[in-house]
Formats: sequence, structure tokens, C-alpha cells
Amino acid sequence: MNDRAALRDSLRLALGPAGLAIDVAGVLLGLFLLVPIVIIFPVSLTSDFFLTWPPHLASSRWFEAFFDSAVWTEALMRSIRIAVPVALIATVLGTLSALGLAYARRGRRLLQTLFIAPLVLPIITYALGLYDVAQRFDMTGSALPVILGQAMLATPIVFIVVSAGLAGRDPLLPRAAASLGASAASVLWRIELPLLRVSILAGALIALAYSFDEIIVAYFLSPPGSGTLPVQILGSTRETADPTIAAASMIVIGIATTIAALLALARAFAGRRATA
Amino acid sequence: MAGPGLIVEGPDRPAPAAGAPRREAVAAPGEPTGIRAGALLALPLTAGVVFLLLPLVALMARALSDEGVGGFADVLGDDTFLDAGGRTLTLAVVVTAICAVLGTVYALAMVIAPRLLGLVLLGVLLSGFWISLLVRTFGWVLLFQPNGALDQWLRSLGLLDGTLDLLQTTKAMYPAMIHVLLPFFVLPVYAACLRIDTEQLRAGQSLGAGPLLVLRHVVLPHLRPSIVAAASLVFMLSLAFYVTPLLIGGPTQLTIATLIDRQFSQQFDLGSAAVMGLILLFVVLAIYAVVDRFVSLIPGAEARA
Repeated sequence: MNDRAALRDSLRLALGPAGLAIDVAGVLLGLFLLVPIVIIFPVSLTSDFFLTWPPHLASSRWFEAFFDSAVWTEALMRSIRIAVPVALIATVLGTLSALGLAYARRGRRLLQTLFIAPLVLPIITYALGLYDVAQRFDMTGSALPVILGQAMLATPIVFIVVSAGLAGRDPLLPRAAASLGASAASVLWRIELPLLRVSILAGALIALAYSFDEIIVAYFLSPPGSGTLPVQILGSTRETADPTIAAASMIVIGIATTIAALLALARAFAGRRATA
Repeated sequence: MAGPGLIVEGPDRPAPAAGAPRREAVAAPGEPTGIRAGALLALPLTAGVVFLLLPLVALMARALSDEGVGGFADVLGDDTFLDAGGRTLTLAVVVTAICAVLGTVYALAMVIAPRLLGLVLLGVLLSGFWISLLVRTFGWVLLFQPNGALDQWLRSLGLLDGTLDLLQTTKAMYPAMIHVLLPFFVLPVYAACLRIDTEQLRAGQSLGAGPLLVLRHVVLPHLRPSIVAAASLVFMLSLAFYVTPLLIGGPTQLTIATLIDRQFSQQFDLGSAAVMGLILLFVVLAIYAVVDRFVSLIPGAEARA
């Protein structure tokens, strides 16, 4: 981390008084980034019946209402049933894409362009297309189009994370294994995959979080009343002012935070093993 | 240069020393690992064609069979579509410009701030990626709604009677969209900031350059490719933005995405929704094709860890 400190010091020195202005601006922007989270948190603990500000604090009744309500718990279960296969599919496809790109001899720039393209694809257009196909195959009520659609959108995320992992591992190791007689399959299975373990796990967790948060595909392809948790939240905000929404929002944040914590844990564990 | 976008130094990874050969993401061509890229790529490419491309082709077929080629001309001449398109374009341009300025400042602040503050700024930024887009937008709704948090706060300061009535205005969309898109801008620019050459900074200084000259001639030129890539990403994302305009703009302040939603879920007109969706797709893909020739889009998603 010495490089980092050296960079900081020489930038500070070079920027002089502008450095302080940038610090202040950074803090103000950080506060701006926190605004909606600071607003939503107390509302979810409100004891009032409607979503109002300021909320009267100290009540967990909306969390209880969430878990007592079949509509909300079913939405949560549906989210889980969709997110797990999405993460699995995206992890397999994203990892294969990253490895394939790394070993490709031609057309690498084009492949990279293709693999990243879904990130900028207008999801609303894609969701319409999925709906059209689902309708032709009479599958509009099924979770399968949602799973496949979200998996395709999450694949580039896994691809980027695993590619970064590939860039960071020692490229001599697979070659060494091959020169010692390992077959292509065992180089992949016994060298590459173990080296990329943490990146693949990170990609999978981010894909899982993506699916929990994804709303457009889930909304366009869910029959009314049977959406995922975000779809249920969206539907409720447009109809009622039920504070259960805020409690549901906090649960969504809780899930994301758990996944983020798992990820940080995996990274820390891997870091310790690497330095041990 | 193959795949420059893939090598992103994460916040926890020191930048390679200047002049050191950049480690490539690949085994060099011709290395005898015996691994065939074609075998690895078969599954993802097939999945991409079947599950990603095919729905878009099906949508094209639907648009052509329901609306015909003339349907595209009709939509492009339609006042509602043009109104939504103008609003979307204005939003995208302004949001991208503001994100570019604020995001560059934020990225620099993350680098130059004292260690602890830098970590806090990074944490706050990443919280934006981890906390649901919908939930954060919902926070803005509570802030802007009539008698919401902002009204109450301004009233308690004696600055306001009544209500600002910001919800369902285009104005209220700006802070919410900037809030959502800022992290997408900051992360790639931050990664580039970490690679600023300290030798150049020192050289500039020893030649007598003040802060502004250093910014203009050393820092900004170094950041330019990442700023262009990040601004393009933010621009494309904001063109197709859906949740924020839906919750904050509402039915009176339509953007392209919320107009498509209205055609689809209220008018049950899949044909015209398809035409509009495809126009949006063509515009975004055209921008992507042009941008991709010059810079590699470095999505910041992997720095979520």
C-alpha cells in the first residue's frame, strides 16, 4: 500500500489548495449519496400507519407485518427461487466466457465487445423480446423466462470479475502444468479453476445480488400478483402507502448487505491464504 | 491492443510500476496448454444467440408483422414519442455532464483524501451498488412527496409554507438519476486515478506548474480515456432508465422507457412498444459501436467487492 500513499502525497502536493476543495466536495457528495438511505431507514421502523415524515420511531410492527403476510413472504421466496439458478447459470457462462477469451487466439477484441454488450443493452427492450418469446411458447406465467433473462444480464458481470481474476493470476502456472504433461481438461480443472476460485465466488455472489435487485425483466414477465420482491415493492408503491414497503426495502438491503459481507469475507480469507 | 478494459486495478490492488510490462490476461498464443477456446466459448456463445439475440429478433419480427416498416416512421413522427424522446435525451445529456464533473471530483477525492476518509468515501460509493436501485429511488420519493421529508425540513427552517410539489416533475428526476448513476462513473475513473504517474506530477511541479496546470496537463489528460468511457456508459444507461422516471416522473413526465411501459402494460399494445423499444436499442447499440472503437468500456461492477 506504499504506492497508494505515495500517490496520495504527491497528488496532494501538486494540487496544493485545490486538494482541500476536492476533499470538501468529496465529503458533500458522499453525504448526497447517503440521502435516500438515511430517509428510508427510519420510515421502516415507523409506528404510524402511513408513510409519513418524520416517522415515529421504535416499532418493529412492519417487519412483523412483512413476515405475517403471505403476499410478501411468497414474493421473498420467489426471489430466492429465481436468484439461485440465475447465479448458477451466470457463473458457469461468465466463467467459460472469461476463460475462452483468455485462450482465444483471434477475435479477442470482438469477443470482449460482445460479452460486455448486455451491460448497455436497454433492458426494457430485452424484456419485451423475452415476453414475446414467452408468449409464443405459452410460458408467460413461468419463472423460466425470468431466470434465463436475468442470467443473460448477469453473465457479463461474472465475466468481468473472472477476467480481472485471470489478469491477476500467474499465467505461467497453467503453462507449467501443461509442460509437465497435464491434459487441457486437467489444466482447467486443477490449475485454472482453483486459482480463480475467489473471483468465481465473487462473480456468483454479485450475480445473486443482481437477481435480487433486478426489476424490469421480473416485472414484465411476472403475472400480476406473483412477482419477485422488488416487483412486489414496486407494485405496492404505486397502489398504497403501506409502511410494510419500507420494511420490505430494509429486508432487501439486509440481503444485499449479507451477500456483500460474504464477499468481503471470502476476499479476506483468500488474501490471508495468499500471504500465509 | 487486446482487451485493455479487462485489466482493472481494484482498490485493493496496487497499480503496476510505471514502465513495467502489463501482465496480459492470457497465455500467449501458441502456448501448449492444449486448451481450445472454441470448446470453452461454445456454451456461452450458444446461450447468447438463443437467449439474448433470439428474443430481440423475435421482437423485430413482432414489430414488423404488427406495425410494418411504416410503424417505425409512424412512431418517429408521433408527438408523444418525440416529447418523451426529447425529455429522455435532455435528461441523459444533463445527467451525464453533471456525473462527469462530480464523479471526477469524487474519484480524485477518494485518492487524495486522508486514508480513513478515503475508505469512508469508497464505502459510501459501493453502498450505492449494493443497496437496491428501487429502494434508493423509493427514498427519493419519500423525500420529494407532498409533505415529505424535504417539505417538512424546509418548513421547520421557516423557508417554506405549503408544499414544493416536486414529485412527478422532471426536476426531481435529476438528483435521483445522478445518485444512481454516479457510482458507475466514479469506479472506472477511480481505477484510472490510481494509475496516475507520480513522476509526471513531480516533473510538472518542478517545472513550476501550479495546481490548475497540473490538473489540466497531467491529471485530466491521464483520466481522459476513462472519463470518456464512463460518460458513455452513464449516457447509455440513462437513455434506457426505467425505475426512477417511473416512480419519480410518473405518468405526466414520460421518458422513452416509461412510455414503452405504458404502451405495453396499460395499452396492451405490444407492437408499438416493440417499435419504440427497438428504436431505443438501435440508438444505444449505435453509440456503443462508435464508443467501443475508441475506448473500452470498463464497467465498474467488479469493484463492488
